[in-house]
Amino acid sequence: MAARKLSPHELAVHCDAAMLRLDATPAAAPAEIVGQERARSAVEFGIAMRRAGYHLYVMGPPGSGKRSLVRRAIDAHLAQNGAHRNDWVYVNNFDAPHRPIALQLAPGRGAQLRDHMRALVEELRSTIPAAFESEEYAAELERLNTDFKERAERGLLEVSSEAQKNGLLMIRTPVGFTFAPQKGSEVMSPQDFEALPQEERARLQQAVQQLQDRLVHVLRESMRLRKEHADRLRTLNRSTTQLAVDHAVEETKARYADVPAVTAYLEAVRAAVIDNADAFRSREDGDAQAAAAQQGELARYEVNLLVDAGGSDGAPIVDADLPSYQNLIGRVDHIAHFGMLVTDFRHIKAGLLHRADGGYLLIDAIKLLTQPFAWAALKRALLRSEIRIESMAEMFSMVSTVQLEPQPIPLDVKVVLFGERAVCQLLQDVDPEFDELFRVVADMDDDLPRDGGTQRTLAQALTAQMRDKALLPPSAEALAGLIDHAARRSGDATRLNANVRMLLDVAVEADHLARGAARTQLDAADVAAAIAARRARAGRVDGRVRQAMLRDILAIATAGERVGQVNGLAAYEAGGETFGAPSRISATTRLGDGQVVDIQRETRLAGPVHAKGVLILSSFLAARFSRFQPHSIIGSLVFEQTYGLIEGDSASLAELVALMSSICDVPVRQALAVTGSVDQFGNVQAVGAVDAKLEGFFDLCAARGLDGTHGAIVPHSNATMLMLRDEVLQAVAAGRFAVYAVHTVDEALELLTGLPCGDATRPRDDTVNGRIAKRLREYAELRSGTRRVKRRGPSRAAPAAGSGRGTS
Amino acid sequence: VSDAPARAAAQVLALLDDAACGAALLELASPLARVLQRELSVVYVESARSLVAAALPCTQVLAHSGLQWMPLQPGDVEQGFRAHEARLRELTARIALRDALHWSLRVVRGNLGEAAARLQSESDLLLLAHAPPLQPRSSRTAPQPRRPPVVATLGDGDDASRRALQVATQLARALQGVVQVAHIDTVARLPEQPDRLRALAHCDVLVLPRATLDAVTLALLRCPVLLVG
Repeated sequence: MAARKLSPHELAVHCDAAMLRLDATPAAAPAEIVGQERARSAVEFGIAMRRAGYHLYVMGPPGSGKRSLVRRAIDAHLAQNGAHRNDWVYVNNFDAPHRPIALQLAPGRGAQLRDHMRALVEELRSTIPAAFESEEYAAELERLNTDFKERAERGLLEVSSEAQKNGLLMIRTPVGFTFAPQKGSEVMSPQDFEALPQEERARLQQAVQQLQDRLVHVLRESMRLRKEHADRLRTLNRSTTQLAVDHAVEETKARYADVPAVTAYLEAVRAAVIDNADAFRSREDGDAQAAAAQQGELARYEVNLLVDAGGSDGAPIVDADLPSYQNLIGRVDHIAHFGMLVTDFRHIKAGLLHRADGGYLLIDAIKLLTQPFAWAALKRALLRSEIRIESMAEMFSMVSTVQLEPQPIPLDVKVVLFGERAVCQLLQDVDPEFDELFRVVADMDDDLPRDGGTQRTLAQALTAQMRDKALLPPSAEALAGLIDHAARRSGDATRLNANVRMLLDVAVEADHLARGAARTQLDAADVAAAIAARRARAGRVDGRVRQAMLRDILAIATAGERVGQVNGLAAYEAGGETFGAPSRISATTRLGDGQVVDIQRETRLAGPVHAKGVLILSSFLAARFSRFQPHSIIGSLVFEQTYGLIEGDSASLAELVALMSSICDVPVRQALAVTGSVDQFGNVQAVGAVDAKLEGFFDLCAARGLDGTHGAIVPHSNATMLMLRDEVLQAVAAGRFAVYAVHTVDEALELLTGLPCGDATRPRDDTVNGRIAKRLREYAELRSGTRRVKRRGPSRAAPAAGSGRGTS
Repeated sequence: VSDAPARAAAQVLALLDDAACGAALLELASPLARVLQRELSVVYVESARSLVAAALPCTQVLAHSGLQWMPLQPGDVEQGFRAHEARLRELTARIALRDALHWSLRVVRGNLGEAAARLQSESDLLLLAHAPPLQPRSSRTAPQPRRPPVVATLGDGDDASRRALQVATQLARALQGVVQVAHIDTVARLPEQPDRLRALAHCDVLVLPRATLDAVTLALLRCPVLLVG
């Protein structure tokens, strides 16, 4: 089989604008996503599956419509099945205020409960004071106080009276109670007391002793009376409060009879109000501090509406813009109060998980993973199926303030992560829980098959989205231009890049140009200009490299012949665009032990794939020419004037050609550039970015002047993928440039050397393979000592790199 | 020419002894002084009988805060007087500051009745209270609602009782309270009616013409008394 010169129509496949024009009327509901059937099926399955652990990871290139695909699937599922969401509120736990209680209610009833509790408190603020200001209460209170006073005083009066009967006075001193002998209505003086007979003094002492015991008993009894009085007052207050509270609470309870948790809470409210009725009594003394304290006490009966599914949180799809730890699981705020940070159930704030409960939470994987602790918090919530608000500061013992422990809320959410494949693979590799939670992985294709159907669908999707963005209406030719660009970006004329957003960006820029030219329609020229402008914006490095080649700072020969030197082709990305440039690959050979030294690899300027390519070509050489003799050469390969990392095996064909040229001293045409990888049998294999590589060499040759000798050699399997620029096609059509497709290294060698390669197993001496075989046979004999060297000249023993005819 | 009438109309005299109800009495006296734009003059009466009792051999005292009888010496009583005076001074300063009053506090020794008689020329408004042996206290767990203070007075139609009613009305206004008037045939025969006296003792303050009461009758009253005239 011989190398094939490709005709102009094989170098690009253009979309037929006429085919698009037939479908000028847009579909009723144009698809936002083109193709992606596998991913679509996976997403629909993941959305519909409500079992635990079936969360989704949707991966694919940016702009491929991952979010649109998921949103459409969710919308379709919701339209069929509806959303099952709930309101959530936090209320005070009167037994343990640091553990607020979570209550679940039907959508809309959370706000109702909040309003009903406000109304209840307002009602109690009027009914409780009214009950305490009633005549009945005042009369009963007076009765209790009077009774207590009389009973308390009675004992002391009896002691005092008993003392007087014994000739003693009970006196209240600043230190306490005492008894002293009485004379008249006053205390007996010490002199009078000393003058009393001994028996009388003894009697008085004895009476004092007895009265002291009795007074102690009376005072002890007064303590009991005081407690009894307090109990009676408390009972009176409770019963007075209860009268006012019962009616109001029962009325509220009746509204929530179907929610046992709420009725239980209202019972707790009833008990708390009765125990703390004083908080409901209005402060009339204008004491601001007391009024604030009262507000604080009444705040215990407020309702913190965390999730208002019937109102502001009604949408069942939550798109997490900033999935930080606190934004995910919620937080507990603190407020400064007299220099202290305090909090209560009212300061619990909902997180994204709360708002998405019963629905769907969409998160960008990278945003999630770059937020400290957020990934772990999300996993914990999904594994436990509950949202437990935990303060990070408390988790790491960074604060000593009292924190809340809100009752966890059961979680029923479908989480959809969006991200790159690499992120998914990383999570699968390092986190065993990832596969346990995200069992559905939807993989969006990078590109789509290119046929009439997909082109039409893509055109419809683009038209619809351009209309949504209020862009100028595109002509069929403009749409065809965009579709061609999609094919070119996919690197394969038979496929379309799935990055619709990128095409829309081009359309937006083309719209800008068209409006600048006062046009009312987007034409193919606008699209082409926008694409060219994009490349121009990103082409600073490309321009500098080409200038360096034109000034021979980077030595790339595009004419003449050289031994052991081939123009390889490399591609690189800059500013989102792919550029290509030729690279001078050189090889030298000498007598040795069968090694091929990859200088790039030795200097750690080549990646493993490149090293693999060199080893393969080395193996090919040995297998073809030294099966029955020692492989007695050492070859050295290098990318001249490269200073960065080289990766990939797309230069292995060029390297092999350079090596073979060096072995047999046959010069290689510098007007041709080569790309392609080789296998161990010398077959040429497909490589990537052929368009950019080829166009890079074309641009250099065009700048130096195309004379019909210039061209490029590409793998045959790449021939159907080409989407070359119109400029290249025109040059090929004019015979000023050529593109050759090759199957084997022999076909490439024949093109590059102008000599036949001959039979690989029994080559004639005037063929390339014959020359190589002869040279290697000579090396083997020299190495084994059966042959002596005859010095003929420097080019034989040590061929100068790049020797031959040519200009650069 | 004596300036006694002018001085008598310039201050409200509050007499206190060792009773624990000093704060309540000052809370009555201070608003009254504010309303009448008078100076508040507080007199602390140190009980002479306490000193005498402490001087007796083997006298023991039961401290307010405990249930153990301890020996009582005159020095303990003197120390108690000083502590009580300091407490009264601090209390008076705080209450008078709130009502923006000029105030003074002095100490006399004797008993409340005698002191009242001795100081009657200094003011036509003399507020005093014999401490009940034991004051009922409200429990913290059962707060009592605030009811309007009750200012009681007696009325038999004579000038003295009319003057007492006038002061009672002013005091009730100052306290945001109510006035209760008990009509009797003659105020002068009040000491002969112990039941009526006991009934009156449940008010917050009793306003009486000064001439009505002697020291013995005064000692029977268990509520603060404002003597007018």
